[in-house]
Amino acid sequence: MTAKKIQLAVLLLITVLLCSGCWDKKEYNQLALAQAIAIDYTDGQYQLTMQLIMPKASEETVSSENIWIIDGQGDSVGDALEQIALRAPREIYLDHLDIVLLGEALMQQDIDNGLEYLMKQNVLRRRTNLLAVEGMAGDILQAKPDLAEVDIFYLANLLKGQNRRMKGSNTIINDYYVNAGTKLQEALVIPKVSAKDEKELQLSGGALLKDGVLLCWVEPEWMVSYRWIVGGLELTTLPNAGLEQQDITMEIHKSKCQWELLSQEPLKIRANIKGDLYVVENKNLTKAVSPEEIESFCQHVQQQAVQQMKPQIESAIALAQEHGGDAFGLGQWLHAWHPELVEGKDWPQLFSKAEIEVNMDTAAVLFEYR
Amino acid sequence: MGSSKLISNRELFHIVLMLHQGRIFWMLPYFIVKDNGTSGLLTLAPGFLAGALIIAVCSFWGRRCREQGFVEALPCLLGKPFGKFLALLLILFYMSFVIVCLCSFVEMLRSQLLEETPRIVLLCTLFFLVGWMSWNGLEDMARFAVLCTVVTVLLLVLVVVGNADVFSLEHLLPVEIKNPDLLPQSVFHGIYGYGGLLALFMIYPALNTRKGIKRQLWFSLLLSTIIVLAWLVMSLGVFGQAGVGTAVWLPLELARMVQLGPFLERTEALFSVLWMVIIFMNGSLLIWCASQGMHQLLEQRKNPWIHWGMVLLLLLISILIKNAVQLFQLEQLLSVLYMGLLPVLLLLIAAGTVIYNKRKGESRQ
Repeated sequence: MTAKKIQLAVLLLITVLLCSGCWDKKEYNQLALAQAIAIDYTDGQYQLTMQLIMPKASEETVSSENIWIIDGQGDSVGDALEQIALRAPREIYLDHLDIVLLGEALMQQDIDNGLEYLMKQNVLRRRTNLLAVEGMAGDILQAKPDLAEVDIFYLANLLKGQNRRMKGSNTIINDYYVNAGTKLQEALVIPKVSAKDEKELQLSGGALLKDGVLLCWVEPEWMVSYRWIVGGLELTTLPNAGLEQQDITMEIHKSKCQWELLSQEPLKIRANIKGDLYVVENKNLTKAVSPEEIESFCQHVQQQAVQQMKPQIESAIALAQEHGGDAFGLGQWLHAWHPELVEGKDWPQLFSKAEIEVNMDTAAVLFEYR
Repeated sequence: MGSSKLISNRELFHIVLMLHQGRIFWMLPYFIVKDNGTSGLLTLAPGFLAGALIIAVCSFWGRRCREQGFVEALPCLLGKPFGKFLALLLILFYMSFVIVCLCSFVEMLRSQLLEETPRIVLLCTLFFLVGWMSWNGLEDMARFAVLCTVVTVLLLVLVVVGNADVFSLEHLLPVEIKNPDLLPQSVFHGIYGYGGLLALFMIYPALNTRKGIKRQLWFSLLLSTIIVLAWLVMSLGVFGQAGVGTAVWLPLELARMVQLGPFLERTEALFSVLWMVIIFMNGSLLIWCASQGMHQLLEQRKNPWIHWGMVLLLLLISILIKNAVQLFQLEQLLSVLYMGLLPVLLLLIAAGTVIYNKRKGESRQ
């Protein structure tokens, strides 16, 4: 029994000595944690800009003293990262990376060139958010917003807040790889971030990309219509939608659009869009009124919503068709359920010529009755 | 080698689950779905049938040859020289399963999580520990297998729930065979994935009761197949049929994507730690089978030189495998060999059991 105990003790000692964590240990106060990274492409060179947190072991909170913005340039992303690593006072730790900002010039070239190295180094998780920037992505990280004491979390919190309010509104790296993996050449929508006078960051509009290359920039109104098709949650105000032309604010819960193939030749598709409209702000129109009047009010709001939103959605689809960029997942749906229609064919060309009609099925109800 | 008839049916149920789940878990999704997408799932069916056949033959033999261990029985079933040769072949198979199982885990760990840690350190730690666990006998491993099943199911639930928001059924469609030439390879991998069940031949004699065991084992096999299917479906639904080829360690990629609200994310470290427990259990079982087989072949009882010599040999062979590419090539070769030898092995065992039983009956008369 004693011999067995000794053997066990020796075994445990050896195991501890061979404790694999020692080689890969990461001391907290020797790391520079990258929160966001911006990738730009200028004059044939890749430029990386990083926001780094360099915590001290004794501190519990992060202050502006712990934050450093550093950039590097190189012929490739790996080169640029190497330049940064050679100058950074600590080991750059990229596993906490939340956001990748893509500059306009990079998007005009091919974003795969910017992401490939980082993906293969297992730096980027497939849940990392992608944001597009009109101009230089590094400028966003350099901005000094007045609204946040600590700049580094501003963008991440902005993104989280938007996702909370508009579920499914973000684009992650997995979306890019799924999109790139198919042969359908579908378009990818990446939300846009901009800096207003370097004092405020704003998420508004987006970029439409095909095969990793920028097709066009899209306005916030286009994004609203886009989210009607792909589904999500959103707060929106319809002007003059009330019985006496008042503005009505609604929380809209949208299911993903149900496509319906009407005819194969010519290609005719119906987009069945379903949404529940919860009337939040209605200027107290529904106070002290009968249930029948409330129902009449809700029906009116519903009709107004369809009247206002349907043309916008149709216009958004038309814009995408103009650029041959199917950002709505229609190609994927056809490939899944009617592969003979898209297999071996030029889907962007087919998409641009397809007749797509919009059918909205919405139900309005007071928010307090949801 | 520290073994007695103290394995219950319930423990064997869980052992069978682990032998399939843990052995080739890291690599199997990649081999099965990368070339043929969703249609690759069909290649699990031949593997399932092969596993069911192993259980049937093992049960057939076990009911008729209660008094001996399997390697001891083989010379009686098939004649001394041929029986010993087949026994040696089986032991070599067990050893190859150990190498594939432990090396795949080490490769995953090194490439994804512990990049600086030398490979030899990881291998030595793993082999030392599994060698110790297997030296102490089957009972502890059997009891631990029950806990491991809970861990496996919990991990799957975590991955399913954590990736529900990015899962899309459309990614699994259409179901079409893209590369018919590569389908046989996927079939081989699928069948080889069930190869760990050959360990049943060594474990069966340690059962304390064999009543209703066949049906339980088939159910365990079915459950394990469903779990593997769930992993494959999740991989396809999250990454897409084209996207599964972009990542080698698909279960880990799924774990990296888990996000449950604001409080649970970046769970791959937890996932790997929990799975390490299963790898230890699996590796120990297979080393036990190989070691027990060698002991029976050399007619020895709990000889540390045989056991630790075998562990050292396995470690040295594992060190020779330098990277994931070599490991995949080895696995590919073994899967082809296994495909050729498995039917012959099972046929010989079944035939040998029938003849042995007949002779036993005649000698009694």
